[in-house]
Amino acid sequence: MSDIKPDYKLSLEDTRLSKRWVSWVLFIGILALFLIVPLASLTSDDAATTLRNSPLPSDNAWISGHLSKAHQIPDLNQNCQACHVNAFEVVQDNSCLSCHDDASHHFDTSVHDVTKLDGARCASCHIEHDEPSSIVRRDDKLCSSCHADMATNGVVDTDLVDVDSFGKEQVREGAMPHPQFKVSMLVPQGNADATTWAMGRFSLADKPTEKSNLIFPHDVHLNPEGLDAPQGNKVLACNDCHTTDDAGELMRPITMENNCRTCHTLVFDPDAPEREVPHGEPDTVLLTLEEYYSRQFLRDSLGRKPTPQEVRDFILRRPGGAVASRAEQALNLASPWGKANSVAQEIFEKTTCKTCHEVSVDNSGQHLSKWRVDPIRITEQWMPKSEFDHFSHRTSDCSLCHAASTSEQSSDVLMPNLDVCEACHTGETTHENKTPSSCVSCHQFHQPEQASWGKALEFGSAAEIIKQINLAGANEVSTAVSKP
Amino acid sequence: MYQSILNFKRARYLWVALALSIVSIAAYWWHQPVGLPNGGTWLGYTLGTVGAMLIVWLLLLGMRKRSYRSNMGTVQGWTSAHVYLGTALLLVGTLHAGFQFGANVHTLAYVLMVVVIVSGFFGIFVYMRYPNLMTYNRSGDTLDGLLEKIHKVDDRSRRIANTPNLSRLVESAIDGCQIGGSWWQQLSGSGRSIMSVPFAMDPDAQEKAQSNKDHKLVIDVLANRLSQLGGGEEAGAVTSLLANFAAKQTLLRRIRRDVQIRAILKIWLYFHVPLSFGLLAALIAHVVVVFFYW
Repeated sequence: MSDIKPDYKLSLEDTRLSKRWVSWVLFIGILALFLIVPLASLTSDDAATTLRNSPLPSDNAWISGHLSKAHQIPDLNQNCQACHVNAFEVVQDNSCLSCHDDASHHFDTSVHDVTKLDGARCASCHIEHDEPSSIVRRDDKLCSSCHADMATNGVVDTDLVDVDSFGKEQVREGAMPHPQFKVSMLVPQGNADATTWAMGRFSLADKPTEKSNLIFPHDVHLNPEGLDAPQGNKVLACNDCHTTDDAGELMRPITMENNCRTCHTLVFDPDAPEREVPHGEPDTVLLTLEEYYSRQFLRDSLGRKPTPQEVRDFILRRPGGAVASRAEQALNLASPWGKANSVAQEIFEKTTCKTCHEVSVDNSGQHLSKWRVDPIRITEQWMPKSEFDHFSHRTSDCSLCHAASTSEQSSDVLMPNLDVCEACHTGETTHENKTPSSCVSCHQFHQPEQASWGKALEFGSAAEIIKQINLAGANEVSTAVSKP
Repeated sequence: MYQSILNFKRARYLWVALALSIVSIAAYWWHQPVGLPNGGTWLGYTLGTVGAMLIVWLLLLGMRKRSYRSNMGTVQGWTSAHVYLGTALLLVGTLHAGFQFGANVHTLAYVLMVVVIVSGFFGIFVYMRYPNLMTYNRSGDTLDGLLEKIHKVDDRSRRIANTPNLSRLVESAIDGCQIGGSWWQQLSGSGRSIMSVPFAMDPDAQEKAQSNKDHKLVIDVLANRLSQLGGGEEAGAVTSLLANFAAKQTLLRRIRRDVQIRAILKIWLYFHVPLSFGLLAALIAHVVVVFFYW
């Protein structure tokens, strides 16, 4: 062939195309642009910043995925070393705790000898650069990996029941369903004068009753035909009394002033509807009544201003004078006391107070008023171990979860039980249009009452600290306890 | 050849690749990592390691092809494994990434991997399709044989041209005949032949160089000349030249098609090989970076 026409280019090898130099250019170019130059820039902050602000690839081209929304701030987004402090070392908890120092532990590490979380880093659960997944774990395995079998996982000293997942449809054979809900309820202890309140945990399976000392029939208040209120007939709805907090999550506490008094006035004399007894101690109530009826006696009962002689008689009441006899005086003076007492009896024992309060009589004479009112404490947060958001349930009627309209007693616990929630919610995966709800839909991993994740005590350290305290004396208590 | 690559030892490596793919898919389906599947889970690291080792091994085919004395299996076996395991790499790499992509060095490595593999698919396609076409086009001849024939036809044409103008015409056509050429001319199969027509035969052309693409111009000029001649020696010569150039035209078409097929059979390697080295660089960067910012 070469003899015939040596300059024919009949093969690609004869052309200017080259595999070799293009290979070198690509190999060296990519290695330099994406590895060597960004790596070299990290030797100084200025160089790193300059490269990051240039169109050339910097270590920002190494980001394997977007940061989660909350972390998309320039300090983090543009600065890999904010978290990746040391090269070839996984991100350490200190990087996270430098901002999130309030992240609390899951349990009291000084009490529970649980090793399952030993060696767990923040990043073990909070995976970054993994959008669109959430940086917060929401899978049931986060919880069930321990809670499905607490004993095997080293948790023996607990009242907690094993649980796999929520939703009766989700429970596989042999797996543990979610136990019936427990409520945290205040229980009064002692008598009316010295009542203390203890927080007790009660399973709704045992149909617990509340003892708040309040007399309140929900059914009467929710009468669809209305109530006889001072303003006339009034049909009450739940949210006339129960309103959510600013976050829309929990209900504000019910108070006499805010919720009851509009209808339940403390008027004691129909002739003086503008006058009310104070909502307070029985002694104060009685004093108010006595003062009112004394004044009424002095002024209104006479129907006129007292004459100077009557005033003199009242002030200069001496025995054996020319003024009215002492018997007359006593009768006159007893009148307002008697009136006040009879009104007090009426309102304490039959009407105003008795409508809502448990009232008892104490004749020991210890107090000005013989009527004693049992103190009231209404449980405010029934399920503190779970998170519930009323706002996200606002489209549902209250009666879907709270059977208030048929509740005759204030002792009825109107919290929804497991069945109520499971009517609409199921576990991680949906079932028959039920809302998928994982453990963390209601429960938190980081328990606010526990120590900071970074400062959690080691198991047994509480006992060790107490021992040290006993040895060293009470003065060193604070120092010993504050040691991480 | 193509059949033996794909069917090498009863497609032994097809089954190896299928097994690797099935194991990878099963593991990916079974694995439930925290968050989304990604390269940073244990399965991600495993698939990544397998993928990286595959890439390095696939690159070694280039070395194996050159080391003729190697006893490490036949080149045919290596190529067969290269094809099947390279295809499986597409799956392994994708599962390693957990279908997460972005504008970063990691996805650069992935994209380069995909482009290299797809260019490889094109290579398999041309190896399956073009050797048959090549044989058919050559009609039992070889490229050297075809070129030899052209040489002979040209010599004959020179001898036949019996007037100065015909001689000049023939010489110009032979001289301006182009076969092959740049990579584009080889690939497109279009020779850029040129010639100038003697003034006497075409005054308008002014003896300027014109395209003689597919030798149409020289055949046109000769046919035109023949139509002007009533008979005689020149007419006989022109008739013979017409037959000669028609034969050359056919030969040239065959040669160009042959060159074109050879170019198509090789052109993908000019992407496949350099991009493989780009992939190797991106892979090194990817691995270093992943552990640098662990």
